[in-house]
Parts: sequence; C-alpha cells; structure tokens
Amino acid sequence: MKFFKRFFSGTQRDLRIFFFILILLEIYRALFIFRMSDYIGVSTDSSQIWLALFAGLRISLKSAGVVTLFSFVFVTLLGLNFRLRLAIGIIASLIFSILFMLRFPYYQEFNATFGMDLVMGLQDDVWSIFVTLIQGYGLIWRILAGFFLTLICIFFLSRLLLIKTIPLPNLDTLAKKIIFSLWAVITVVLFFIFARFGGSFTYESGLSWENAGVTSDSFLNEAILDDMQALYRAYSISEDMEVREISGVEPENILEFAEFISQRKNLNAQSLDPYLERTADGERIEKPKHIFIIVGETWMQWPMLGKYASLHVADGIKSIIAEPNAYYSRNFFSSGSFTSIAASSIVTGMPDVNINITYQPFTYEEIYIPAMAPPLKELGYRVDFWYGGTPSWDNIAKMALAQGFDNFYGYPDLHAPKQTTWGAKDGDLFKAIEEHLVDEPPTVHLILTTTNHPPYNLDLEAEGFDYSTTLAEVQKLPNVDDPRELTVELGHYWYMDQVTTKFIRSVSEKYPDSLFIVTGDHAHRVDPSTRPTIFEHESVPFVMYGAGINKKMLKSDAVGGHIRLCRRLSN
Amino acid sequence: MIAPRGFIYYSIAPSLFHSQNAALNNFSYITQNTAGKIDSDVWEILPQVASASLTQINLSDERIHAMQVVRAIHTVGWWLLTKGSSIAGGGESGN
Repeated sequence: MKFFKRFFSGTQRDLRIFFFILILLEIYRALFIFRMSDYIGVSTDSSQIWLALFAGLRISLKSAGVVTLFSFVFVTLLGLNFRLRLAIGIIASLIFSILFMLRFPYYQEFNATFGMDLVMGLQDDVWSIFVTLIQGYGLIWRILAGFFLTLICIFFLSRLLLIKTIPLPNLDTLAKKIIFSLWAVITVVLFFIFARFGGSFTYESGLSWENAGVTSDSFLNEAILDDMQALYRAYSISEDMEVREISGVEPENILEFAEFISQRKNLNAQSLDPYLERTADGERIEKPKHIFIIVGETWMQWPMLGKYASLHVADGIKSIIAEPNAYYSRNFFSSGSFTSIAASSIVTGMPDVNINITYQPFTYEEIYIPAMAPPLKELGYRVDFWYGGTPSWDNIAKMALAQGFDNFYGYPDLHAPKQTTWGAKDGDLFKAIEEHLVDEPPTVHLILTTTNHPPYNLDLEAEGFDYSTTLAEVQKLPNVDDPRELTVELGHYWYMDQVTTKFIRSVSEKYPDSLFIVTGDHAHRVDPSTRPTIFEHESVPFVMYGAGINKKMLKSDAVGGHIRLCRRLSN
Repeated sequence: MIAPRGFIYYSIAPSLFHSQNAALNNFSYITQNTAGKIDSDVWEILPQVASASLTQINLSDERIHAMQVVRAIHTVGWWLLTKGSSIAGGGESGN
C-alpha cells in the first residue's frame, strides 16, 4: 500500500510540475512576442499570434514532459527524497528563465531563436564570443534577471507542491489493486505519448520543431519553439550534419576539376567564377510570360515507364508528354533522397555533398554563384517559390529568400485546410497559384508539392481513384512487400499526377505563353518491388511543355539532374 | 533556351544542351546508357537502351567519365559551400 500511496500522491505532484513548466513556458512565449512585437510583419493579424501561442503550448508539452519525467522516475517511482521534485522544478525554472532572458539579444542578432548559429559559435573563438556577450549583450545582468525570475518561480512552485493531494481510494481487495495498477499504467503511458507528440497520440498529427512553423509570420514561427525545443533543433541538425560523411570530394584537386567543368585551361583565375561562367547560344523559344517549375513530392519515374503502364497512375503526365509541344527525358536524376536536398539544390544550383545547405551559414551571407534566381531576374522575371507546407520547414523559405527569390508562399498563404502535418492538398496549392496569376508580372514559379508523402491519408475514393483495380494490377507485380500499402501510395501519386495535369492544362489555356517543367524531388522510398533497379530507385522524370517546345529540342533522353534544371532555362 | 545569345550565367554543370552525358546524386550516377552506384562497381544498362546499340557503346568509358564528373561536381560544390568562390592557392598541391 505504501507504494500505491506514494504513486498516487506523487503523480499528482508531478502533474503540478508539468503544468507549472507548461504555463511558465507559455508566459515566457507571450512576453517574448509582446516585447518583440516590432518583429511581427505588418500584414500579420492577431489570429496568427493566437495560432502561435496555441502551437507553442502544444510543442511545450514536450519540454514540460521531459522535466516531469525526471520527477516521475526518481521521486514517484524510485522513492527518492520528495525535495528532489522541488529541486528539479527549480533547476528547470532557472534554465528556462536564463534562456528566456538570453533569447532576446539572440533573436535580434540572428533573426531566430537558438539554432545552428549557436553550434557554429561554439566552433568559433568561444572566449571572444563570451566577452562580446558580456559587453554587447548584457550577459551578466540578463543572467541575474534570470535568477530573479527563478526566485519568483520558487515562490509559486514551492507553494503549489505543498497543497494537499487527493487521498488514495480504498484498495482493500486484490481486484481493486489490479484495476488501479492497470489504470495507472495506461494513464501514464497515454499522458507521456500525448506530451511526446506535442498534443497528439500519433507522429503524423503531432507537432515537432520540424513542422511547428504554422503561422505566416517568420518571427511568430520562431517564437513557437520554446528554448528547450530550439536547442533540440540545433542539436538534431548538428548531429545530422556530423554523421553524414563528405564523399567524393578532393579539395587538393580543385583547380583541375574547375578546369574540367569549364572545359577551359589556364584561366589563372583566383576565383571559381570564370570557371563556372557559361554563355547562352541564343533563344530557342519565344520568351514565355510565365514559367512553372513543378517539383512533385516523391515523383518517381518508374510508374511512367511502359513496364508499369497497366497501373494507370501516371496517365495525366503521359498525356502531356504525348503532345507535340512537349519534351521528355527519362535519363534524369534528382539531387538526393530528401525533399530539402532537391529544393536547395534547384534553388542554389549546388550538388548534395552531405552539407545541409539550408543550415549552412554561407547560404545566408551571399547568393551562391550558380543560384537559380539571379539570371532569371536579369531576364526580366520575378522569381517566386510556392510550397504546400510550412515556410519554416527546414529553413526553406529563409533559404530561398536569402538566395534571391522575390517571394515565398507557403501553406499559411493558401488559406486551405491542412491535409497532413506537411501541409495542404496539392489541389489547393495549384488553385492558389492559378488565382494569383491574374495580377502577376512575368514570373518564374518554383512549385513544391506535398501530398504524395506519408501519412498517406487522402480519401482516395472521394478523389476518384480506382483502388481495387490498381490493387489487382499491383498484385501482379513481382516481389512487392505489401501490395495494399503500395496501392495507397500509388493512389496519392495518381492524385498528384491528376492535379498537376489539370493545372498545366488550365493555365496553358488561359496563358498560352507559359512554359512548364515537371520533375520530382526524389524517387526514393517508393519502389515497385523489394529489388528495384538503380534506375527505378533513383530516376525522376524531366518534362518540358509549352509554346515552342518540341521533341527534338534536345537529344533523345538527354542526361540531366536538378542542378542543370534552371541552367536549361538560361541556355 | 530563353536567354539572348551571349547572355552570361553561371553553373557547376553545363546546360543539357551541352550535356556531359552524366548526372549524379550522392549515391548514384546516370549516363546515356547506364546507371550505377558511386561507391561500388554496381551498374546496369538503362531499360530504354536498345540491345542492338550496345555493340557500338563503350560502357566502361561511360563509367570512367561519369566518375570524373562526380568527383569534379562534388569537389567544386563542396568548395563553394565551405570556402566560397576564392581558389587563391587552392589547387597548388594538385598540380
């Protein structure tokens, strides 16, 4: 009975710690937004602030859960001194209070809460940074203020923990003890799952630092992350960058390779610029008013191949390819196996060398020489990025704008419901773009779709997908691990194909002087069998369509990849 | 394609109109007739390549060229991302 009493009383006090930390983080978040309100965009309305506060509350469930876990394990379960619970709460309050005081100058310096800049700083001259923090950013008084805030926390927390708990019900029989134990285990597990996924019981509908940027305002999106989550973001990214080796790189041969790439020798340049310089041969088509570069999520090529024609999931794009004003190359590879690699590669013109471009400091210092936007702007186009997901995801909006894009439109700009944690339905994305065209000057649109991605939760029947017929065809394929799962994935591929084709046809009709390029971000993760060929596993389509395009513009199945995509436009 | 003759632009890889006949990502490469792994000798003939044409193709040369493209593009890309565009003194040890 002693354990039951300690458990029942302890969990109640752990809950108080949990809600105390949760509310503390929410208060700090609200104060941060209030104090830094000048950073909120002029077009951002109050609903976005409420959205940020709610999303922040959800994501802070994780941080409060982490603190509570210590108290629950060491005091409630293991029965260590009850004062340890208060000590855990005080230590957490002290850390959060000091970080709260430091996040103001940090944001003013980096336009972000704690992130990769912190990791980079630690690799820099730490002593110099420390002195600068004291002299320029009031490190000492901010830490003292953090201690003062902690004293206030101690005042409230100590009283909160002293309030009497509800007494344990009478467990006088074995059956009552068993029922109580089951109830306790289930409740605790569900509680920590709910906290772990940021206010949800599943990863798909949960919130994490990767998809927490749910507002249309970059400042508010940063404010959503409490400091524990922001630090966790920095840790995750740096770990990711450290474990990925850099392969195929020979810095000692830079000059030799620069000459190989330029096909010119003895330039004797001190910079790579002249080696990367290209000269256009001249116009091959009349300059289109609008250009659309559609990068489909997981738009693998293999369903478009004749071998898989019976699946009928790529009939839309194949109907486009069949027209005389279309060109299609099958010999096309994406830059990598993740969406962010493809997006950053197309935007910057850089290959994937296991460096996360969206978190690389150079990305925000200057525009890379081969970046996509500058030559297109020189040719008279506005360059916009359209994405069905949240702009803060993987720094994608920040990266695109830093690399010369004029505008970034993400999920919050679509005014459409969220289909998955990754964003709105592709149909809503294309609808928003089409509506936006009315007032646009000549524009290049880089469009990144989201729907063909886990969790595959579209109502396929409602969208018109023939599941049973496709399943029957999938079952005929050899070595498919789970035909039903592959059919659902192909159903989402079919949806992407349909809405993309519909968009191309609709815009072509309204704006005949448009040019479309269609490709995929990667082919990885959806294979036709457990033993795909390299080509099936890696290749994505390359389709050009529009006025002036023909099948002989390039050699048949010209070889290419993402870093050549926009160079194609220039030349 | 849409730029006037003489228009200057920058690219690590040439335009597809001047294709080096090899494209890559971090794991694999593709040429006009083959696809292969970068870190191993595994490769395959592309399904769209007519078997009749194989006698006229030197697949070994394609792979050698592809690997040279991989090394060049990876090295120049890595350099730009980590060091910027200056190569002052950068190639001395390799020449």
